[in-house]
Amino acid sequence: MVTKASFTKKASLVNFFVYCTRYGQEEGDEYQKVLYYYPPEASEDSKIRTVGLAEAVIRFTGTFNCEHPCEYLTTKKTKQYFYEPEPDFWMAMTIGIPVTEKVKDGVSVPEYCSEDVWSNVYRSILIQSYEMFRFFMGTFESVLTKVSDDVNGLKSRLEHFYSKYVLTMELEHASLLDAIHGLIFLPLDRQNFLKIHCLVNLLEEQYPCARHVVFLYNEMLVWSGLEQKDMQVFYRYLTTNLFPSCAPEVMNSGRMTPQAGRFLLGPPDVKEEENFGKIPHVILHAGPTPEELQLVIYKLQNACICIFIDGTCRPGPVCFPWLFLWDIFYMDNFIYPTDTLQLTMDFFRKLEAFLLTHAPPVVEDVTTQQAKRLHSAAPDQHFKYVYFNRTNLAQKNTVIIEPGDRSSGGIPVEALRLLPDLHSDLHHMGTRVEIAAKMTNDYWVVAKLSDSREFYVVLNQKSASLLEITEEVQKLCRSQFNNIFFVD
Amino acid sequence: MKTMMTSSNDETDYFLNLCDDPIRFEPASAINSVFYDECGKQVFAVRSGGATGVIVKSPVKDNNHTFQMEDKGSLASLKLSPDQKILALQRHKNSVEFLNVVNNELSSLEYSQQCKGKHSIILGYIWVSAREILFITNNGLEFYHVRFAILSLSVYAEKQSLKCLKTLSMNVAWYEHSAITDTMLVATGSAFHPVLLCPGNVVRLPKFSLDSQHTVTERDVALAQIYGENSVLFLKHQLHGSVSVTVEIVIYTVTRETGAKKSHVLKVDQSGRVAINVVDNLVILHHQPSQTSLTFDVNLPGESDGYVIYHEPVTFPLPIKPQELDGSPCTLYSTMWVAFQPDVIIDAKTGSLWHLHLNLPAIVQHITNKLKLVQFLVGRGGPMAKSTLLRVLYLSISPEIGPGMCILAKIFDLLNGMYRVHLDKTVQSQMGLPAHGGPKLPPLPAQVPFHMMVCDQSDMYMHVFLTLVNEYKNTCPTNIRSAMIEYLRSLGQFHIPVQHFIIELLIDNLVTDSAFYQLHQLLQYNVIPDSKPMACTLLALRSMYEPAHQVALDMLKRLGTANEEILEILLSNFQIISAIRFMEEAEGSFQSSFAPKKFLEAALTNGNPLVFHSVFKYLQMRNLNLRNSPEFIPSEACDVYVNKFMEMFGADA
Repeated sequence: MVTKASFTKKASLVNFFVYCTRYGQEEGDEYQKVLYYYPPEASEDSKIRTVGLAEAVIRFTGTFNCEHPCEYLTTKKTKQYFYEPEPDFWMAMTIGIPVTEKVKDGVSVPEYCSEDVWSNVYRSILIQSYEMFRFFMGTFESVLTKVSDDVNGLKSRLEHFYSKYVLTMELEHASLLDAIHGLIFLPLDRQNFLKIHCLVNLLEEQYPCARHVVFLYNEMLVWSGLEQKDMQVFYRYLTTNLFPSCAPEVMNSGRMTPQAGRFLLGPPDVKEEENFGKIPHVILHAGPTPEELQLVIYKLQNACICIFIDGTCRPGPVCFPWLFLWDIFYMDNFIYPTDTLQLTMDFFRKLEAFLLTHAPPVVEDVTTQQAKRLHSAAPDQHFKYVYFNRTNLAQKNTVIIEPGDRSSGGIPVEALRLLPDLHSDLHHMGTRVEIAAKMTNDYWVVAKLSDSREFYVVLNQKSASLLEITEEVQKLCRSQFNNIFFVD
Repeated sequence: MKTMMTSSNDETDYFLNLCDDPIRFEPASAINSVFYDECGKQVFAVRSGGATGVIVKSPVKDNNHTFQMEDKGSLASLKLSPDQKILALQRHKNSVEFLNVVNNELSSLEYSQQCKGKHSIILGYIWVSAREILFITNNGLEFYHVRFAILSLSVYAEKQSLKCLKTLSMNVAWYEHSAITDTMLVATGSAFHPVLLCPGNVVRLPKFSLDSQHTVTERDVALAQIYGENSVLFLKHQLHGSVSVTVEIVIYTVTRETGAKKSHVLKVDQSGRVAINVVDNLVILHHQPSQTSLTFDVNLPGESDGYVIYHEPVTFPLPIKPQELDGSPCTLYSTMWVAFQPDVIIDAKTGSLWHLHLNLPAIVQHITNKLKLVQFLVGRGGPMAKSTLLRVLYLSISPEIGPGMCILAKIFDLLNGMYRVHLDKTVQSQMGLPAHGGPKLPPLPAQVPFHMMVCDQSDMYMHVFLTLVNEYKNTCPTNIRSAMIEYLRSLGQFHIPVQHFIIELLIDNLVTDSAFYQLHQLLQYNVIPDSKPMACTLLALRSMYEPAHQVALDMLKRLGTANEEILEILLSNFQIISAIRFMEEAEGSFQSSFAPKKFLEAALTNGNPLVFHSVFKYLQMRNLNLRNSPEFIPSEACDVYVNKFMEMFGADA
């Protein structure tokens, strides 16, 4: 491995677009097939050319392998990813390859590091961008149906959604975590978990319109009533979007007392009659049929209770149909059909009263336990690792600190950059694999796959041999994960 | 289900009923006097002063007698000694006469005992034991020993047959006595003395008085045992104009150490004639004018001022179940009724003695609050108590009619609190329960009924959860699962280890519902305890839910005693190299039963010659290390694989 100088230009988004091959197949009508294009300031002409090129590449490569369409195209300066989420609908994202300056014969020349644009990570980011759209808007096809096949209706929704989403993708910080897309679970004892589970059951019983409930504490998952696939998308929305945007509000909000909670999604204050705040529609796709629900989130101390409400179901005993306009996701002026809404301020008042009656004792018990756990936690682990279990999507990570500074913890960036490649290599090699990579600076990166578990560890051991490193990793597995069975 | 709840017939409507076979005796009349002895539970029908017969009837068959005796004037009372050998009777104000029972007949020899004080009047007497009798006079208590001998004419000496053991002097206005608690309440003007009667001794406890000034007569007092406690019940009246309104029943608890202490107040608010019975630790107040009865349970929580607990009736007033007597409807709540403790009702007019019974299943529809109902039922004894409780639990979880998780949680906590107390008392060592004072054990029920009913996990499984799961097999409602989770939480709250069959049922339910991700979360947080049977259950789920396999292996690993099983699983999965590595790592734990044949067989079935080659070579090396020879020993039965190896790779490979 070669230690690289830091990039003079980081990975960046060149373009991002959605097109549909059903439209604009006549010459001169090409612009019709472009459903969304970023950057918006690009000229009509360049949009058509870029989309046309992508279409051509896919069609050309398709002649060699029609089963698996082309996934990405690497050029000297860019890497373009393709994804066909639904028949005839294509998404593409082009990444500018990071650049380092190299001095050659006294002249500084740019060197493009295409190996640092990991195909698995960025393709995963592209797919997630589709899943997020589908979570809030539904499939492209279903949106088209909703707007009576008026393609402009779909276009405006794509525009509303992606114009903001694209800006939140943080491509320069992409890492292994984007590829594995895991969930962080709260370490919790059995009894407190059961208490939370019972609280959720009680909530679902008292509010039959609450179809699913997700309980998080300190942004870590405790209980999910969603199917795994939906949970993955939802968790990503929470951690990359909702929680970061809410954090400062909590700090400034004067009415916050330790006892009180508030709706993160829902009415900002139930005493105000008209202001329902944001209550997004979401569409769950993991079940046999898509389920359209409304998302309300209540935050109480460190706990976050996410309630997926079926608006067609009467939410409570007393409920007057109350039509109001509301917005979707973070699009403030977007008007959505309100025909199914039954959520009234009275409903929210009751819901808040319910939560304030039943949740605080449970949350306080968890808080007490967490405080004890932190107190007794081993100080500063001497090794850094990423653990991922594909079966329950559990992820643990002491290497990559999110978001911002991803190279802290004394781990060289080179080691981190290696992780996505190791991830991809593991999966190409079988079900039980171990790869050890030595870096030039005494660092070792060991990746281990044991059935559905992945384990990446970064070690710094001077002049260690491969054997010693393997033993060290085995020792770590035994001490850190003594409650699970690593098949070697 | 619903129809069962709302259907009404005689059986389920009435909570109280009289026994079907009352003891019958000749009704009281001018020539027939009737006496009832609470101690011996015997009715004495005395015709013509005994000359034409004394008929003694009792619920105990052996205590039925027919005697004849001389008519020596009107009788004030008759009482047989507990061993049925001596009949004591009172004809005069200052003496008690005795007649021995010989061969089921009264001896003609009568002896008598006068009370000590010249001017004392005997208010009554009590057989304390077979040979001890207590006289209660207006001036005190006199305790006698009766010398019993087959008296013949020669030793006939009336005066010497009783020996005074003890006297206590006090002013006695009236007294009440309970044979069950061996306690007597003596009224001395405005104060009361509890007196404990023990064989050989009579103990007077410190006096106490009621807070209010009104006069109390013996009609307003009942002595009973309630939840093992020696209790005195006072009916407290208040005059509303000329009408007496019973406002409350005040219960004092009597112990030898502390004397009498006011402990409960039962709120009544009825006017007119009332009578008290105590059945199965419940206080039943019969109200004659309205022909209904109120039931109180002092075990139920009530308002408390720190000393005294105030109780509301358990149900609204309910009538006793209509009954037939001699082919025609029996008059209930007759003015001729007299109630005796604990559960006896006598109608002197018809000559009947009934025991009052509870029809527990009927209470289910009279107490709508399910938590209160369960609290009520756990205090009950009798054959129907537990089945009724389990039925109520079943109904509480049933979809649509259940009271909801909030109440259910409290019900489970109540039951498991008592379950925990029971476990502490009995099987602590066997179950390996965490010791008391472990972290966060919630306060255990302070007041545990003395015949505490315990609903353990197998009761809950058999009669509640399993029945429900079977009944709602097709719809698989989530609230049954929620209830099971709630039950697990409650068990955990009281540090009671959950048993395998409960978890198994929960897993079945989750699997039927394809809620695998939820199941995985339960496993992840160790809600499902580790055990070999559980690991096997999970392994069996693999075809439906692949990750169950991984979780099962984790579980076996954590158990630390299941290395053989892990090895078998790896081999059956053809993870032969992994199996060898695992075996080497877990060295020592199963070298003795090491069978190279298994590895070779799996390697061969696997179909990869390279793996077979490696495994074979590895085992040869192992043999070399162990025995200095690469050969397998005959007992390992590996010949067939050795031949196969040579066939595949040649003899010198």
